[in-house]
Amino acid sequence: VGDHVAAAFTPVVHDLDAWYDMKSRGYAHPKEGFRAIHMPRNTGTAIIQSGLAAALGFAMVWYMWWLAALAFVALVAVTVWHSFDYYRDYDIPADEVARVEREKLSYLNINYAPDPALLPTGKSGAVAPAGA
Amino acid sequence: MATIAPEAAYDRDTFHLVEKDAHDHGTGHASPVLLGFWIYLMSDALIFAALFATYGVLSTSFAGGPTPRDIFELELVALNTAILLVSSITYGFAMLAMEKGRTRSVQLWLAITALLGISFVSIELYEFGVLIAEGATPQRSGFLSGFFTLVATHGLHVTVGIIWIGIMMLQVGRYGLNIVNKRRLMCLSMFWHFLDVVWIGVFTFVYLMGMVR
Repeated sequence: VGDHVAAAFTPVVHDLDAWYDMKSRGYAHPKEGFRAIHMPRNTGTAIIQSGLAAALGFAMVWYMWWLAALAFVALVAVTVWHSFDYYRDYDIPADEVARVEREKLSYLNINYAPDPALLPTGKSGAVAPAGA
Repeated sequence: MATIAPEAAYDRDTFHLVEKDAHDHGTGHASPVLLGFWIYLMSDALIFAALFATYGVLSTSFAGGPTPRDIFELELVALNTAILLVSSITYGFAMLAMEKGRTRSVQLWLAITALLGISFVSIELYEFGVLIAEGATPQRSGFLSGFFTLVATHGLHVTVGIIWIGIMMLQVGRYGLNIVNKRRLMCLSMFWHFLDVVWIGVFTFVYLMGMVR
């Protein structure tokens, strides 16, 4: 299974310019506390059913009874087949989430621990001069 | 730190929430699947509403052909109604057995329900066969087009329900009364009772009112 972690955490936004707000308050990317993420497994059943339903509709419009019968039987068969699949979800392990996060942060060249001396104080939008 | 924005339900310095522990997706009792199934049933109800409305408009358009009085056999329809109502009770017994975790009993009641459903569809097909043999085909008049479309759509639903009951008997036997199968039996229960309700409408508006007019 190809695991792709888009976001390890749900972001919480406090301000219109959330990124500026986070920088102003010295937000640091978390480096621990990752949890397993619950995911649905991939399936192509829906698109197959849609294709068969389209064939059924086309056949019914043009009175092509053989195709209508074929598409209807196939539609029911695919649906029944899918119902025998009881394993439809999985977890991305916490280790994997942590690994992907580390990789992402290393691309972004973000330091794990910001230098406290560079952090601004207070809330009023005062930011340390860039490149300090 | 005091938060000023009323929508700020989280601490001002909280910028992310940790993923919850592995939770249950669509298997529990408060499953979103049941709500989804209700939405499906309501959309299906719209189909039947449209077909009832169509039949209502066309029900007196006989085009010189047969009228309800000429072709309907009320005894047969009454028998069919009784069969379908009893099948709802037997499905109810299957659900009671499910609550008690009796797999064999669930399968038995499902089998009885399926047999009643098969009887219903068979009698309906027999009725259609007689009508068509008499020349009362869907092409004969607006009334018969509306009649066959409405009643056959219901019959097709019952047929699909019978197939579903068969699948559930197999899956309950093979995988037991696990949480997924219980949810499926619950959805099937809603489906089956829904078909019963629609049939009451068909019986009343098509057959009874057709005979009275």
